[in-house]
Amino acid sequence: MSGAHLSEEELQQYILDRPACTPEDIAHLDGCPDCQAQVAAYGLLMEGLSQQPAPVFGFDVSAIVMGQLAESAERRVERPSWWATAALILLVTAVPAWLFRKSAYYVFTDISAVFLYLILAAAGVFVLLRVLHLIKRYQQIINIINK
Amino acid sequence: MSKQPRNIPTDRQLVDPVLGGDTPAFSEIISMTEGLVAQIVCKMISNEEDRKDIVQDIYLKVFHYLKGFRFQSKLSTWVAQIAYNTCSSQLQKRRLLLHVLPDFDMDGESLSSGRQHTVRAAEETDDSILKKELTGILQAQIGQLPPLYQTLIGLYHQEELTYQEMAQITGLPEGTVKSYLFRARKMLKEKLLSKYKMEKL
Repeated sequence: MSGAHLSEEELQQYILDRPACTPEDIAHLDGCPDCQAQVAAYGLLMEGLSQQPAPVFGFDVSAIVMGQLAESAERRVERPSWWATAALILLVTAVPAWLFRKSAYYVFTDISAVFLYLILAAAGVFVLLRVLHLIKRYQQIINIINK
Repeated sequence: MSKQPRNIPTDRQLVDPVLGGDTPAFSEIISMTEGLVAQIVCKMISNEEDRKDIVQDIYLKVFHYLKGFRFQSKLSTWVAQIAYNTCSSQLQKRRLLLHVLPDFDMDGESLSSGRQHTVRAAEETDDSILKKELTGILQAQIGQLPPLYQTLIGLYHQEELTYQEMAQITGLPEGTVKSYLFRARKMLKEKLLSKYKMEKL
């Protein structure tokens, strides 16, 4: 027997990747019953680990997920299409704008400066919050994809 | 040149139809990756109801982000990454990722009262352990490991993934993956030897 006992790392390596072991380690093992017993224990463990039953779900994954996808597809169909939404927005904004076009100028001249500032500030904060939310969401998606 | 077996579709054959609008083709992706996802989810999430919700969440993410898949890794690895991230964020909320059950000693030292003890135990048990018994006992011991260790053991010893693939899935450096696996095996070996020693006594 030569040298000190093999470390736990070397014992594991002997089982998993014997060619990577040094000749000194192998020579020690050949003459050391203690290390041989440790190797035997690891061998038994590795065998037991590879024979573990594969975990399975207690439900039908495909049925659940495909059902969920079908539901969300139905919801998408039920939602008005983008052009219908655009047409509605146009109708709601363009018709009053056309009807009240002659008074449009006074909207900005008759309004007080403070009120105008408050409206613009509120709109600015809202837009800023939406942009920050979008950036955060984008980063989350990129992390999931690229991590 | 390596050939793709005829009955196993390539990642492109799995992904392209789904991206082309054939939603039912997604079930093929599920059946090809379900085993690997189960290996991660079942090891990291113990509650069956939670598993159901998480698996749904995982595959809905896969479906929605599929157009972002760049074929730079295997599709199964990418899906496993999403599964691992979803489970680990769930566990991190509860601070359970590296949580260990009280019966287990994380450094593994106090379980072995010296080299001679384990040597004798190994000698005594070598012949008497039935494989079936060993599998059952190991299963219980694995269940006491922290979720991350359980997952790594499953991915390496059952799914036979490489360290590189495991590092990709978990986002951990390869060295850390190796180190966690080493510690998990050491803990299991010592626990196993200790158990058989106790039974012999």
